[in-house]
Amino acid sequence: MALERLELKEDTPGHVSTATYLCEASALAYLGEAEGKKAFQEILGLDATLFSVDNTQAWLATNADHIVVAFRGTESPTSLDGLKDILLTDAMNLLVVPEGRLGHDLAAAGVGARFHKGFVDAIAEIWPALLPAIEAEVKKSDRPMWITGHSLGGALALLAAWLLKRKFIAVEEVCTFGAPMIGNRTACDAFNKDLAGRIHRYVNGRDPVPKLPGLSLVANEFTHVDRERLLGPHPMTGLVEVVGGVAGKAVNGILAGTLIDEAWKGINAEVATHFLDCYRELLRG
Amino acid sequence: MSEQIGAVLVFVGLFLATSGLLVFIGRSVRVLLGRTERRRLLGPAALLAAGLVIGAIPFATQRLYFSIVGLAERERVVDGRAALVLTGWDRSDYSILATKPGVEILEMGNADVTDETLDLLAGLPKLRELTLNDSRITDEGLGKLRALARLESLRIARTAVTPEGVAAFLADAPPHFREIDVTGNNVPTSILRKWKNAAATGDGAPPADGQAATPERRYVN
Repeated sequence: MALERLELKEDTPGHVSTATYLCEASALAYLGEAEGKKAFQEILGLDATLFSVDNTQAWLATNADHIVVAFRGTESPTSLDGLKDILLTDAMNLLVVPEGRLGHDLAAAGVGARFHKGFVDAIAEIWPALLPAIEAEVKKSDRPMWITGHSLGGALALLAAWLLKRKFIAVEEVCTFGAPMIGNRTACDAFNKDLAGRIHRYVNGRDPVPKLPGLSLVANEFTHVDRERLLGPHPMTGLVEVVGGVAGKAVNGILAGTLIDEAWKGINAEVATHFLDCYRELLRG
Repeated sequence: MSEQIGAVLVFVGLFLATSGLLVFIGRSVRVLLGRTERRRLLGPAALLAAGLVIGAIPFATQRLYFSIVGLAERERVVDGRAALVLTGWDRSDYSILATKPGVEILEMGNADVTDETLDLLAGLPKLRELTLNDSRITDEGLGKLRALARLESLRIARTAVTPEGVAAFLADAPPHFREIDVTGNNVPTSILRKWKNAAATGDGAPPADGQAATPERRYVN
């Protein structure tokens, strides 16, 4: 496993190496505290701390050069239940703007902006604990901030990036993998403007989660933020589908490390083509 | 809350309409076969129509609401401070600010906000946090913001301010000023970093209250 090649690339938005690294972080976010701490250190060279409040978990992982925030998808990756609740239960699918400071910061996207209640509730749970820890890290040393998450974790990563920007904390890049939609057009337009070029929403053509939630019953339709990066030739198996399997079937895989291998394999294919393209260009020049 | 009522109505409407439709189809077949009279179709047809009407109520009320009320301002008290969001509203009369002298947090990130609009801020003595993203303000408007004695945080992303204007503002910012977002204005990071570090070393404008700890300065570029 050539995981030494994992590297975050600053100032090159959407670099495949960054995506690979953050995909790995998103996968590790599913691990338990002790196991995850060890894996973050061994595989990504990051000193990681788990924040867990009710059903929301996030890792704050740092080293001398980077700050990575990785949100866990659902508490129990053994089944889609957690996600099903949040994506398919009507009460959760309502588009809302909550009260309080967090609500104000979301409403700042525009008076017409509405967000998915389930995701807002989830980020609201963990934010009071996570934000001060992130702020402390930024204060300690100003390093590029990377935010990532798979599935529900991807939705939380997007919200977190917006909220950090509102706190005058710069976000280098947000990579989501198979993330569902978080809000209506107004909300997404605001995210697209304020985080222009910093959001990379990796999606596999066959992954159903990014197609959820469908629409709010009454108010506004959900939509996606930019920019979508489709992986693999469309119906083909790609990175997200492999990682997407975490939620469905592969919890044993991830614990045994085989999922990481699989994900790495999927990504490696992408990396390879990039390398080839690079070489071809160089040879042509 | 209102969304939940709406959802219930949509479901009830859908249920009635579906039931009506199924019965209607069943009876139509019987009518075609001559087993029953045509007027027996009226009942299910009425049920179908009622279902559709009920199901449409939430959508219709929402349309109506938006056509009458539109996207009005959002006013809340956030952590004990009056917060007003005008970003993305569908009005253009900012004189509403004259009626909200207690506002401490103001979101006004709209394309129709100009340097002239900022004159209205003089009536908001408690203003601490101001968002003018995507507005048309220039260095002239930025200069006006110096008069906001309590201003701490400012967002002027994607505006017409220049690096010189930002530098001038930061050099002579309100006493408690500590956070700025200048994304998309091509402001050299060196200007911002210099300002940020000035607080740490203590040569920036210190808070007048004699508070010992200088608050941490932050920027987003």
